[in-house]
Formats: sequence, C-alpha cells, structure tokens
Amino acid sequence: MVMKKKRIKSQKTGKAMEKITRVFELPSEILGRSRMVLSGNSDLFIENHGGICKYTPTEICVKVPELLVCVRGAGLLLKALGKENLIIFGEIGEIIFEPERKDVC
Amino acid sequence: MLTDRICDLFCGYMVVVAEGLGPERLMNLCNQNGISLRDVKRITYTELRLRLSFAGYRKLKKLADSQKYKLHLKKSGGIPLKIIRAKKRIAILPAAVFLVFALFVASTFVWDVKYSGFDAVNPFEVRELLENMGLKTGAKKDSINREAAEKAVMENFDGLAWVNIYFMGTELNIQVVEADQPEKMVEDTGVRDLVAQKDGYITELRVYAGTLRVTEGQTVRAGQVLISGDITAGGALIGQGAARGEVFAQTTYVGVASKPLMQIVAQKTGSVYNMKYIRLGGRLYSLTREMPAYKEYVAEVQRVTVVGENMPVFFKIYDVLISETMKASVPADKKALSAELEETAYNQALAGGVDPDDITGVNVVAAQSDTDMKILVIIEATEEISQAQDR
Repeated sequence: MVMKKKRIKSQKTGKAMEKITRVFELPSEILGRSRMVLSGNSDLFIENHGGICKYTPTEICVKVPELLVCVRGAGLLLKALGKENLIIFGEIGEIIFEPERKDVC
Repeated sequence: MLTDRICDLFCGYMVVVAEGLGPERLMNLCNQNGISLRDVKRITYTELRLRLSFAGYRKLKKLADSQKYKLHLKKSGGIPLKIIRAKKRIAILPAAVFLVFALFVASTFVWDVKYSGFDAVNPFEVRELLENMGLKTGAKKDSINREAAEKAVMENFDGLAWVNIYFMGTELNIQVVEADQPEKMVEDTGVRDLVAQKDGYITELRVYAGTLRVTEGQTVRAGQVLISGDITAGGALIGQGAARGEVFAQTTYVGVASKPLMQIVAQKTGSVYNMKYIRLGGRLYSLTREMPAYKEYVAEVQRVTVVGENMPVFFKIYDVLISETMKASVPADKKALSAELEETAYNQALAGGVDPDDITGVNVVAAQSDTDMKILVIIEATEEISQAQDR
C-alpha cells in the first residue's frame, strides 16, 4: 500500500517535472532521460545509458532509462564504452525503442 | 581518433581478448567499476576483443579473476609501459647518462673548421696562422680566443675588410670579407697614335684626345694612322701625347673552299670474310684462321659477346666482318658537298678574327666548273679597328 502510494507520488512528480521542462523549454536530460545523437547511419552516440543488454555484430541492445534501445545492422561494434556514454559504430540498419524487457535484460 | 591515439601514447593502452560466458556481463561490470572500454568487438560467442587503458587493465584483471573470465593480452603500448619495461633494464639509465656526458664532452671540442669568403687572399696562409694560434680541429673550444685570432688575421692580411670567427655547434667558421682594391692608376705619358689594325670602311669616329687623320666614309688600310698623338691649335703643333678614341669601320672577311665533283671512295667488292677474336687480359687473339690477302678492306664489328660478366675473370668475343674494297671514282652528292664547302669557307672567314657579335651580314657565292665546286663566303662586320701604337 505504501509502495503503491510512493509510486503514484513519484509518477505525479515526474509528470509535473515534464510539464515544467516543456513550459520553460528546458533540455529533457534534466529529467534523467538519455540523449542520442545519430551521425548518418554509422555512428550512434548514447549518453546516460544503463548498460549493455545484448551485443552481437548484428544487434546491440542498450538499456536507457525506461527504454531498451536495440540497434540492428551489420558489423556493429562498440567504439567506446564509458560509464555514462557509449558510441556504436557500424552499418546501422534500424533503431528500435522497446519498453524494458525482462527476457532480454 | 587523434585524441584517442594521444591518450593511448601518454596513458598506455592494452588490447585484450576476454573469454567467458556472457561477455555483456563483463562489459556492464566494467561500466560499473569505471573502466572505459574502446573498440569493443565480439569475436566469437564467448570472446570479446577490447582496448583499454593501462590503469583500466589492472582493474579489469582483478575483475576478470573474480568473475572467472580469462584475459589474453594481445597488444600493448604507450609511454607508461615503456617506462615499466625500461625499469627492468638497469643498464639503460647509466648508458643514457654516459651518452649525454659523452655528447657534452665531445661538444666542447672543435670537430671541423670551415673557411669562407676567400678569393684574393690565400686561405691556406690564414689557416696556417690560425693553426699556430690553436684554431684547428681537435682544439678545445674554451681555449680559443676568437677576438685575438680575428685581430691577428686582420693585422697580417691587408686585403681583408672584415673577419668573423664563430662557432656553429662543434664547427668553427672563419668568415672573411675581402676589401675592394681600387684600380691602379697608370700615368700615361708616352706619345701614341691610334692606327688601323685591319682594312675597312670608316662608319663612325670618336676622338677623345689627339688629332683626327681620317674622315667618316674613308677606306683605310691596316697600319694607317687614324688619330695621331699630336696636339695642335690653329694648325700649329703645340704638344704630343697619347691619342685616345674609337674608330668603327665596316670590314670584310673572306673564306674560300673547293672540292672536286668526282670523289674517290672505297667500294665493297662483295667478297667478305668472318673473323672471330677473343680479348683476354687486354690482348686480342684470333679464333679463326688468317683472313684472305685483301689489298684493301674494311672491318666492322658485328657482335660482342661477354663471357663471365660480373665474374673476377671475363673475356669478350668479337665477331668481325671483313669486306674487301676497291677504290672507285663516284660523283659527289652536290647538295651535301655544297653544305660541306659552305661550312668550311665560313669557318675559314671566321678565322680572320671577327667577333661573331659584330657580324652584320654573310654573303655566299657558289661557282662550279666541270671538275670542281667552289664556295666563297664573305662576312661583313662593323667593328672597332683602332689600335694604339707607340711612336
């Protein structure tokens, strides 16, 4: 019961913060969301990631807050993997945003 | 990319292959432990090739041991690693120190002496003087008194305007600037006339001193006085001196060449004989029997075979074609003969002493009789013909 109340409270706070950022046109990073920069179809820069869920030369799944980003393509490799950001390099075919999945991560 | 390479150089890098189940887990563990990975590539299902810093490698090693991953070091580089390796080589530091010391000691001596700017002054004399003062190869740089050497050179050699002795590393440079010597004034007191050194038709006259004896448009002969050294006033002789002036005249030079129209040439009879010779140690030996007794013949080398080239001992074999000839009278090629005669006649005319720059025209006259061809070349020139002659 207490947990449910806490969750409802945090959801309300999150919505309020979202409204504030929208009204004041603040960058959405302050909400703790990740930022992604795609250069052509070869470089994908992801900031504020939560770890690697799957890594093969054809698919890399990265956990970001509230989402799972799956990058599919050919010859994919992690050019850099830091604590907060990573760079995926290769021939990127598609990027799929999925809700967090327990079977993958 | 460049920043990565610079970072690799200064921080050191390792390329390792991590082996174990679920490499993603290892990557996330690295992430949590603050180990930055680069160029992460999945080689096989259980192998992951990654590049990381030297500090990161140490952390990863501990992590891999605890998580039962195997690490295989594939490549490493960078300054920190080199330092670590160098630490193991105890002789390197003393050797480096010795090298620096040896360089320092070597740089305190003169290794070479260079002289520049010498033209009229003999550099060997300067060298001798400076060597006596200790400025030579092998001398210690501290022992050289450059100011005193400069002063000594200046005092001993009159023809120098400036001397600079300086070091460029271990090289001693002696640089001089020679003084411009004024031309010697020669007092001209003799009585002298200007005479024509060759026949010509006078086109221009310039008199600086003396009395003019010819006029423009006059034809003069070699040896004729053009400007005399007499100084006159109102027709009366008041003194004598050296005549000075310039006399330009049109001159001609003639060259003649002739040759018969029929020429005697050696004509091959068709009788040939092949000879083989071998050259061994500077001597020529015949490999075939003696050639037939031709009265006249020409020999042509058809082929040279080198046996044992690039070897300490080698020899050459010559294939020679001997063709019998006999003299025959044949008509000459008139065009070629004319060109040949023209060239001969022109060179003959030039040999008269004309400066090619003074030539104003060339005339060619060709004459042909039944037996001969004759070419006459007349070179026209305008030149200065006066020549001083003591009276």
